[in-house]
Amino acid sequence: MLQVVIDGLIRTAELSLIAVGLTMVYGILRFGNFAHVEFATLGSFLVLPLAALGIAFPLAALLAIVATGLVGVLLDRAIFRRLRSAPPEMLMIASFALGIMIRESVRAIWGPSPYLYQLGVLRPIRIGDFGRITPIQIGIIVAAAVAILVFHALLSRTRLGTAMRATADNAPLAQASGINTERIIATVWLIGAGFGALGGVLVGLNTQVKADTGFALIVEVFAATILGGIGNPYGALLGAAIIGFAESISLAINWSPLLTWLGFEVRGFVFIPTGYKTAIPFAILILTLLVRPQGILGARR
Amino acid sequence: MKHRLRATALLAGTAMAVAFGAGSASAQQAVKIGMFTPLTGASSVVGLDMQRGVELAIARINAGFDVPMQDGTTLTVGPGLLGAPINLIVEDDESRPQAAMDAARKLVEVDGVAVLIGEYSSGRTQPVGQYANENQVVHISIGANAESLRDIGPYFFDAIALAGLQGPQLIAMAQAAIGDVDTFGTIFPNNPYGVGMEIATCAAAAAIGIECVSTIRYEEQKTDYRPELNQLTAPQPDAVAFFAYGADATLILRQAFELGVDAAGTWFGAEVSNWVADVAAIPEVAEGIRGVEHAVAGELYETQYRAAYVDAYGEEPLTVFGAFGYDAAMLAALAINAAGSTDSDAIRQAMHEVSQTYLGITGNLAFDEDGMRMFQDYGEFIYTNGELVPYVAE
Repeated sequence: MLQVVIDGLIRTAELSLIAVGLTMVYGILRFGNFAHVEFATLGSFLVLPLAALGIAFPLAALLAIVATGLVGVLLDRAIFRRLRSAPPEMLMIASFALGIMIRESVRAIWGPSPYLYQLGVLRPIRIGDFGRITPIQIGIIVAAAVAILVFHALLSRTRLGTAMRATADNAPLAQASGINTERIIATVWLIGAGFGALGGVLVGLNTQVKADTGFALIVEVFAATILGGIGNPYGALLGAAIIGFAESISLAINWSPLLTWLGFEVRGFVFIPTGYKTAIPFAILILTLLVRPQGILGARR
Repeated sequence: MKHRLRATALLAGTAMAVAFGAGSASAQQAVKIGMFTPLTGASSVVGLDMQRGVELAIARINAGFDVPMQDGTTLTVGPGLLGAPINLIVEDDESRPQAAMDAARKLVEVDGVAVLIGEYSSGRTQPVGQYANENQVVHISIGANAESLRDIGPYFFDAIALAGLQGPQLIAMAQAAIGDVDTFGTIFPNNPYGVGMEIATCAAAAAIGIECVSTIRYEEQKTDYRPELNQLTAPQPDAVAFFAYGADATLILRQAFELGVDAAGTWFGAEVSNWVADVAAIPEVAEGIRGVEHAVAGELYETQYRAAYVDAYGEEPLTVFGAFGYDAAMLAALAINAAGSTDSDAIRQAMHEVSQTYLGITGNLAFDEDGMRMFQDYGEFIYTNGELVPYVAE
């Protein structure tokens, strides 16, 4: 069971950063940005040329994250700023197209074969009898936690954070009280895309770097965002934790005692087939939309 | 000035006419053979190796070659086929079924190839085979061996024997290597090949009283296989049968290593040469893993293939599949040569005949009535110090 908790934590770390970025942009611009998960892909790939130049991995990762954040700002300037008054459906379709463009550009530049960050493989550390975790995985969890804490401090302790929350709550009112909302929007894109990139780098560290990294996570990330209450960064964090743990726990449950109790004849272990892994966040998403459409931490509008 | 311009235009026009004229004249005569192969994606190493094997065979036929026969004689074929050099057209299928279908459609509908060669993943070969059969184009698979390929149709042939033969071999190898085996786990990709291997392995196990306690079918090209690995190991099977394509294998072996799974002690792989090149970046995760692979060795392989391969490409053959590609291309050339035309039905009938007499570098390629190779040798190997070496149970 301990291993399931460790796996859930790693998954939460990866998902939460991407989900927080997505929900921030939604909070300000009120549309679901389908291209957001591609920032994860882009960020994880941008590390490769920087690392190839001999730059130490943490610095290369940081540069890639900042670069991806700037790409986010530029894309907003080039595309979404022109569509500010367009209906959200139009923005969503534009973002969907943009997502395909980013993903296929990455595939065109780096090719469809996966890459590994050249950090080697580390022997796992044993925790108790069953738990195992590698130092890199501990690093992944710590990096995500630090990023979230810094973000929390920014949001609650700084003037910029206050302005961001004000713009998210009521943009015209914020503008009327002297907040430069376009600057706030640019900042949100910078941080949101940067968080997405950090999430992508962590996925790459844990597994491989490939063009489908972001797209493969799109259901989980949107489910986490909606589950927590879209637009609410803390909700996205909570949603990511629920999705991350639900995936590893539900696939780890042995159903044979229950089935035996129900009178079925079973031998050995009975698991939910791993092919249903992506169905789990979907099921949670549908349940949320039915029972509490505003999400767990979402305010009723 | 005007004159010079006109003269230049005339010269250019003539040059173009000569170039295009000559091009279309030879294009009409040249026999076209199409190949779809994964040059990028999870199987790119195998894909390149298969391309090289096919190219070696085509180059030999184009230069004129004494093809060895089973009765010890040789048959001179070429230079070229039907009076012109063979035109080999290779398309990358990106290790994806959809891209493989796109490649096959282009080769059949645009290029009008006489024979289609490829692939080694059954998941990509099966849809292309069905498409080729609908269009009555002869299709020779190089290394795909899912049991379901048998039913594709009369225009489909397979240069490698179907995978089921490996099931009993894996069980026997595990028993010889670790002694008392009562339970088995399997982890195979959720595609025609993987499911066929799972059924073949577990059937072979059940026949001698061994139980398959976990049967994991994983989705290809995912970013995380930890839940799969946890389910695989939960019932604590004595031994595990596994297969994964190149890059997927690297991730699965890495995550197994990080979860503390004793793959070196208990895992037995099918067609283990698949991931040898991919795992080279992190060889420690595969150290000591044992498994079976199609045996390609012997004098003919050494003299006719390996030496020529090293000569042409400056390195040892990357996997065993290049050799099967070579044999597939040789069979195609022999069949077109025997048929004396590029008519699909004539080639199809000739394929059955030449397969009974051709002595392949991978052995006897004789097809049964379904176009499936009947005979296959497997060897046992262990991955150590970054390479596969023959394995002998202690």
